[in-house]
Amino acid sequence: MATNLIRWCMAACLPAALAGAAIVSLGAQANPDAIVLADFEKRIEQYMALHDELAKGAAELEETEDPARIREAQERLAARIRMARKDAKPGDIFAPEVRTKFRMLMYPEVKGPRGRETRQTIEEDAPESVPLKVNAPYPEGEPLPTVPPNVLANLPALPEELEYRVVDKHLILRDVAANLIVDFIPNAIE
Amino acid sequence: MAGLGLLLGLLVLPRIATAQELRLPLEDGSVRFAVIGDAGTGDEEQLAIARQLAIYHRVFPFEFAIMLGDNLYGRERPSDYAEKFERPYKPLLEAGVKFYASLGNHDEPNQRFYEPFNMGGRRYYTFRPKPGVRFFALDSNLMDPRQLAWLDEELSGSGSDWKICFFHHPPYSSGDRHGSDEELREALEPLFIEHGVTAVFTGHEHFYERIKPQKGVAYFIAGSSAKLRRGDIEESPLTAKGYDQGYTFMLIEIAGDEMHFQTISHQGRTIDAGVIRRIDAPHGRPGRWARPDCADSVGLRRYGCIRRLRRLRR
Repeated sequence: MATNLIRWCMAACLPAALAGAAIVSLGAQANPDAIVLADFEKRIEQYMALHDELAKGAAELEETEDPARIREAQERLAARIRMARKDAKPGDIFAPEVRTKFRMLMYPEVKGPRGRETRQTIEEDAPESVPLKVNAPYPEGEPLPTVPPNVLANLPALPEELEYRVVDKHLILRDVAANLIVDFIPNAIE
Repeated sequence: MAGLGLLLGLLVLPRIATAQELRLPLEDGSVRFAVIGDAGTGDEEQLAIARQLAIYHRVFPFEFAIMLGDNLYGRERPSDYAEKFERPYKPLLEAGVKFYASLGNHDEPNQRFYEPFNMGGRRYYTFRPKPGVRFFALDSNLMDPRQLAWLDEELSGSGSDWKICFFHHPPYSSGDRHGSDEELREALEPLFIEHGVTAVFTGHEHFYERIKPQKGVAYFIAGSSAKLRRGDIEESPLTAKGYDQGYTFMLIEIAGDEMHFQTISHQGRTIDAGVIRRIDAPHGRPGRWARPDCADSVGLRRYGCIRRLRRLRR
């Protein structure tokens, strides 16, 4: 009798247990992209928390008639961020899985039927050279390449203080107020 | 000899604006503004245009100017702001003319914090100089979903009769160097059509081009206020009027249901002039043409009522 009861319980519970396992298994399979992008978002949030903290006081950019004050605030902010992130290296924001994901996200727009047009827009008025180095400034006086709307629509949204730029084939994450390269993906567009 | 010298001087000197040169109605209560694009070089060409702006301001006292990007070329040190903006336009700034800037691909986005550009610390923004006329300055370098959503909301919420957008990259262009920015067009044009934008001003191409109305929207390229690519306009069905042989700026007057425009060269010569009527204006009549009035053979046209567009419903 006890054996029958056990068997009955097992018969009743096993499907539920298997379903639960399937759900867990299905969940893990369905969300790897979401996990990667969630990780990217978290790294961006961490960077922005640091940025916002360091952008207070004399490093705060605000409207002024005096362009010297804009420059001073920008340089002060950049110096503070460099100090706080002195050990920052490529991949701190664009982790390896994120890089792979970004390349996949951009691929349809740069390689698809309109890829040629999109690449032409990106390459137009491209700067002569931009050092690919975390915490380096974007070279002064060099044009900032346009990122076409169809590419931006495929990439995760950024806070207003950060922007994507594509230089040559590399995707740069740039801190606008500080004019700093935060991270980059080399050969994002193959 | 003195007479010959005087004659030569008159031939060489740029023409001075007189009231007769002006093709704008100067109606009471109108909105008057200037348009400059790709102007921030600090060199003689920018100064020549700036001088003409000051001259015309005496006969056509425009209240503000819109800047179509590439406001400062090269470095943007404090001395560059002085050399490439404050000094060239000093007479206008002292006369109280406000400048509203949009960002070009040569512009550091932190220009948004420079108060005389009136950007309010924003990369894209809107302003209303008078009831019934609203301007939308966009950042065409990074037209992301957030900016598009903002524009959609602002256009939707605007009750202004005139909705005018200005930014750097042209959705339509006959230029050989750049040409139409089709990705940008695809993103923006549906919003322009849905929300009844009447006119779009852009730069980036270093010439002047008035594009034939596209789906009820008038497009202007005015990117030769200091930079010029001679011969860059390719023959194209898009062009209503093109000029790539000299530097230019525009003067605009919005009076009631009409937008009057005049494009002027660095020598003070009128290159183009005309009138745009809002397509849903009560008195607009389809297919009505005004009599030719320009110095050249193209003539004036009323854009009138091309076709009443059905509002897209989502």
